[in-house]
Amino acid sequence: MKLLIVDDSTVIRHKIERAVAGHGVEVVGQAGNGRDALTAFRAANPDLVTLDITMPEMDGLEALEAMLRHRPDARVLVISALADKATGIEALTRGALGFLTKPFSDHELNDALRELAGD
Amino acid sequence: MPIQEAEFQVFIDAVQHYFKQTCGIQPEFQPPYILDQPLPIREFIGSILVSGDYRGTVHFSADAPLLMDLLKQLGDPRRDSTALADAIGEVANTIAGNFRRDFGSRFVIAPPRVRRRTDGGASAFVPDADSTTYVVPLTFNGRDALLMVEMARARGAMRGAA
Repeated sequence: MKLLIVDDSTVIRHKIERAVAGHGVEVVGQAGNGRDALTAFRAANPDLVTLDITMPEMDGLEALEAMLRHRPDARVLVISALADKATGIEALTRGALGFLTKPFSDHELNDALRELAGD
Repeated sequence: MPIQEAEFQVFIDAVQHYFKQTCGIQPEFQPPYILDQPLPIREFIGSILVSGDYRGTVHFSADAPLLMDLLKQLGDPRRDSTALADAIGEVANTIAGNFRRDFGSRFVIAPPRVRRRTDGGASAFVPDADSTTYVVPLTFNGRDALLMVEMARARGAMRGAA
């Protein structure tokens, strides 16, 4: 499965990259804001996307909607520090297929990605 | 109006959860207090501007050794200043974002701003007459750090209002 990682924190991007290594996931792109995420999404055509919400330039929920307009079957896991239930519901309502709260463990991430991939 | 002191527990719980979940190590907390005199900041400071039903800033401040320990715990091989700055920004962002579990979705946070003490600017926090600054001193892996929450509820806002 091809994965695009979107987060303004390089610490989180590296954490995700390391966590998925050896789990049948190939990281095909990374982006640090919503605008760059859209460019990377169109270029890399990933199977899965991990998407932060609070980012500069364009936030993750706007980017999510744009990705789904471009490819309605996009499989997006929103990963955010925003830990209230309303944010999770909003992400799912806008078309994300999963929501994971930071901080998260490698195990939680891989479980969520497996679920997203339909395994 | 200032937030209630009882909400201190929210701040402590969020810090505890961050370090336990990220590193499996519980930080130790010193008694929290309200800032009433200038407090020297540590080498790096990550700040999150808060808006919505609240007004203020959440700061997390620590020295390089703590951030290096954190990167090590995360399995991140980088130790350069860019990585340390990114690490403190992410700690501040995650802790502030987790406050929404208690304060609700109208606790709105901005992306982190990061500053290093050597960049210039103020080297100490100074109490602000218009807001209350809650200080939570902590030790992680034997290294000291500070969580500072400079915050007031916006007029007419209710706690946890969605």
